[in-house]
Amino acid sequence: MAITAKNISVTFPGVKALDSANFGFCEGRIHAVLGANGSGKSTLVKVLTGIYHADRDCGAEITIDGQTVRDIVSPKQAHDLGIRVVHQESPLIFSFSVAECIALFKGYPTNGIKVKWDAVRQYAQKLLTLYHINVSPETLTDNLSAADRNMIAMAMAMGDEEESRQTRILILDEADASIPEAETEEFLAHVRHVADMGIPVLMVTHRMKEVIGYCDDVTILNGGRVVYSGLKSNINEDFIVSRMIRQTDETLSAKAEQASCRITDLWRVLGRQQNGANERPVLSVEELTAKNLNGITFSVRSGEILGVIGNPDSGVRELPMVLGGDMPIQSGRYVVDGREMERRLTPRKCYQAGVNVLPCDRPVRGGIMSCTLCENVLMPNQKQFWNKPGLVKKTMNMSMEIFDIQPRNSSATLFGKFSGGNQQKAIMAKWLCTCPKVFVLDDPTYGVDPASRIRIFTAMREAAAANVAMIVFSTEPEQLAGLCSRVLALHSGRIVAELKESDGTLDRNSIAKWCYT
Amino acid sequence: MKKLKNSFLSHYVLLWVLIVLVIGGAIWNPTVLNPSNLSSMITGRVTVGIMAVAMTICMAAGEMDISLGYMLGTSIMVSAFAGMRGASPAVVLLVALLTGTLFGALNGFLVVVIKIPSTIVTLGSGMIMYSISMGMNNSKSITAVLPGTVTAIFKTRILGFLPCVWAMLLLFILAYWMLEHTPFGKQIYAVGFSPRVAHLAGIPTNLVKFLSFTLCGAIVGVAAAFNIGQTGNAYVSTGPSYLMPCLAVVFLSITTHKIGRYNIVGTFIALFTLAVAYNIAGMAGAPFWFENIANGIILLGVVLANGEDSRSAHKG
Amino acid sequence: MARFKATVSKFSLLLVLAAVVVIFGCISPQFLSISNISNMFLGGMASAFLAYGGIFILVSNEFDLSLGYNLCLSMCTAAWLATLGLPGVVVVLVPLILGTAYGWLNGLIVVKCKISSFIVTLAVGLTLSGIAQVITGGGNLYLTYPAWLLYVTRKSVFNIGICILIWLALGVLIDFFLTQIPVGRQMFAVGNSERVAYMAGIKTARIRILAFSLAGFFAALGGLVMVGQLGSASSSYGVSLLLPAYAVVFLSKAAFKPGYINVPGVITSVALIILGTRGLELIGSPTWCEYMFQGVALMFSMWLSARTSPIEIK
Repeated sequence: MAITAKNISVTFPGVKALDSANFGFCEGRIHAVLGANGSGKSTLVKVLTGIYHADRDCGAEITIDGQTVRDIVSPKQAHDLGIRVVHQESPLIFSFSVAECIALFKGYPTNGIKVKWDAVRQYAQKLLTLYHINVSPETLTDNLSAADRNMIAMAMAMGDEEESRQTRILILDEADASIPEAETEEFLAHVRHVADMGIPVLMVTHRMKEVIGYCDDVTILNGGRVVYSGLKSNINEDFIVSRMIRQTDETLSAKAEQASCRITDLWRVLGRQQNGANERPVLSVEELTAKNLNGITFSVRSGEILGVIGNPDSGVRELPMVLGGDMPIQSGRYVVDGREMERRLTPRKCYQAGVNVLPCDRPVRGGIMSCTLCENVLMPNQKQFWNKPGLVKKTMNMSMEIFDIQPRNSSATLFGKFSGGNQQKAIMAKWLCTCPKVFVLDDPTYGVDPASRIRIFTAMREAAAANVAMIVFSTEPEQLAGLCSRVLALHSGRIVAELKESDGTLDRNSIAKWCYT
Repeated sequence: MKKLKNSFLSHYVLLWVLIVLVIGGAIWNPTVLNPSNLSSMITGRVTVGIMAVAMTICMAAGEMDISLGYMLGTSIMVSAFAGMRGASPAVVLLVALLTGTLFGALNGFLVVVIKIPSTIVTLGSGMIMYSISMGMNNSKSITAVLPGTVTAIFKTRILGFLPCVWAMLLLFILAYWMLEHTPFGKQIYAVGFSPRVAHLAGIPTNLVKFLSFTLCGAIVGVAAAFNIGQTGNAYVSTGPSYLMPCLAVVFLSITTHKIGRYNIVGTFIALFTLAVAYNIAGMAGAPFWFENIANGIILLGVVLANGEDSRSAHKG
Repeated sequence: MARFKATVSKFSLLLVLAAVVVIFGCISPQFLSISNISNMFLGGMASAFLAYGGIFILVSNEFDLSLGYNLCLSMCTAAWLATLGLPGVVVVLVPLILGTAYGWLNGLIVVKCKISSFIVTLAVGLTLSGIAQVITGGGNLYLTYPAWLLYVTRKSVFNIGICILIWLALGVLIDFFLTQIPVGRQMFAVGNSERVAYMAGIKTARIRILAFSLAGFFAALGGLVMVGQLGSASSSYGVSLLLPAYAVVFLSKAAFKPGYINVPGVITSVALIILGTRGLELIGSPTWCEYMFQGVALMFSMWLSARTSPIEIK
């Protein structure tokens, strides 16, 4: 093996990102590293590129070309050791030419002071030809396709013939994630070409199809540990999926301690009418199209918890935003409680129609860090609380009790000072205390500690029992099996499967399959 | 008890500074506490104070309006122009108020609808206002547009203070109530900190920003009305020199009462702290430029000390 | 048709300039005499130097409000050093060095403390203005030497003002810097996307500080030109020159290299603003028109440049 990494452990406060993991990469072979969110994939890359450091006393050893180091100290050392990496984000400057982007990265050839533009163009052309990239050096980066961009990034990382000889390993860190599926073959052919040059390639990816089609070796990470490492030809998709899902998740079935009050009590205090149970769907969409969505049709009834899963490119990121009025609808019908929603939606209109959304990126869209907890929780509905300090206090106390937000009595503390789990619970309180008809949750347990997860699931079940319809989006299948009665699988912007508890198709493995392929 | 004391201490640092200054100043020179000194000190800061109220609201909404100085001057000029053309005193005062409101609305419109950053908009609109001010009487000042009876009203002391002082006090109280005890105030802060989250929470961010700018302009209009009401004169050079003291006071507000956000109570305390400080400095013989340099250093100091907060409290 | 439109937009600014020249030239043929044009330009030279400073700032995607105050302070410093009787070289060099240092300070605070350039430069600028008041004592200071400074800023060669020629020469140098020197190209990259530039290994902190320092240098240079021309300095001069300087840089995106700030475009815009304002004077518009024109020009140019390439001022 050209490169081995042994006993790599990386511990962060509260979590072990990598646990005595061993890896080996061979010349000329494409080695895929797979794993769910939080499995340790990106930690591995950051350790190899000198951004994170292995724990001091774990006995880590990284051997490249016979040379062994205990730890890679910095990106510069990684570079000197021959480690090259291509990230998901493009390193190309918009509105520069390809040739100049390459020069920016590699350094401009100069005759003392002035740039030698001929040399810049020639070098760029040499690089493009070497890697069979069919783009002219003068092209502006804005006019490139995503595949071209990443191929050029790869070419830049490796360099020309001479420089590429110093490459000991090429790491593609989700480099394929930004390329639309139609162009991935082209990209992967180039990756194969690089491997054929005798260089080991480490490909971190979430796209199953690519792994099966193009890789030689596979390592699967789960919770920081290596659960499989071997030839691709020995395994299949189902095997991979089964190894990727978290083995135990007691949070799902665990019941939280009974709080002294329930969400229905809070609604009564705020004068909200509980929704009636109804056979007719409370929300339905028909042939909905938007960015990354190509005709979605489904409906949900009051009191039902519907799950929606898919890989990151499937539209599972965009659909909650569309439902919440944060992304424009291109065509299709969107009906809530019998009334058709207008085409130009805003979050305000959705809120007034009874559709609330818990967004996935908490610090950016979930809550305002510099406002207090109280201001955040009561934000959608300030008018009701004007001049009613008693009501404010009661609402906050009840919310903190129902959702177990710690520490109690801290309504005036800044939102940013709470832990991630408490913040998320507060945002749930924010959207649930107004008794919505439909509550859309986008990845509600991301970055949330186990105890808070239990509380969130319990709250969801309680709300569903009180006739709130819920739509839960997740890229982690483990969450949904015990929670939902139905799960929709998205792929390429369409619903491709419906898994139902009632007909036995709803189980963790089948959900996982749709998440990771 | 200790915890309570600690937080009170740290939340009201400026208040302690003010108290120390007053006591120390009085010990050093008892005339500091002389009623006529206090009265003239406060009267001298009224314009800055009113403008600081306006700017606090604007910055709470996450925008910065550096045209406020020019807005003041131009509102005064335009109203004097109306007076020159024979308008009645009531109309003159009303024109001052309306001009400020209109300019505020213009700024708001350009920021919200045309989506030019407020920093650039107010830079440009300030220039435009200045040009209008010059154009009113061909760069010359306008004098004596109000009859003596009217200006006398503005100079009648109530309980020892001029009407403009009471107006400033009233504005502070109203602004405080609005920003900290009404839903609109909460919306302003939400929009100022994170327009994204506010938008998702159903707050009409564009409307809130537009209203903040307009309100800001209206308050400056009030300052203009009192200014012309008191003197009956308008000068082209009035206005820009108020920007810096106003900024210093508003920036200092984030150190007190509600740390990390621009707030009215903090502005109020800062206004008086600086007033007392400069008053004492003046008595001690500090040169005329002392105040300017001090304001600049204060601005820099607050910005450096609260780097993170001042960045998050103002999106520019 | 599309190509025609593209060509027209490339030279739109030149066309407007040509129109202005033709219109005012028809109104008064004297307008077009070389000595007259040179005189008009001489009057706007201080602002023109500020514009050069603005180029570096805007290319790096920053905003510097202290440039006008910097110019003012360098005027006052020069005049003050003259009243102290120091040698001519000192009178000229010290303000230049100080002006660059103020720019450097701006850059340092913005980059190291990670605070928005707007706030920092406003605070620093107002402080500089305060210092100017200290130096001048609130009144005017007079500058009567060095003779070569007065000569260069006021006299002409072949009917063209000497400092105009210097300005044009510097323009060529700046253009060379921005298009042919790696550091200049890197400055564009940093302004375009600091993150990507940083990941490419470019020392973005140094480049941003350099941009501020260069802006400070040119602001100081503009101050020397102005004090040389006027022979006096006060703390109220020069502050209002900031706006037209930025407007001119934004407007440059409308010519020669659409969407990019470029030096030929800046020179054309300067010409446009100078000839336009003087032309307006010619037909009898009062002075306040000038400010109105500048305010509108700034906002229009900002809107225009935002349409061609969306930029964010931090």
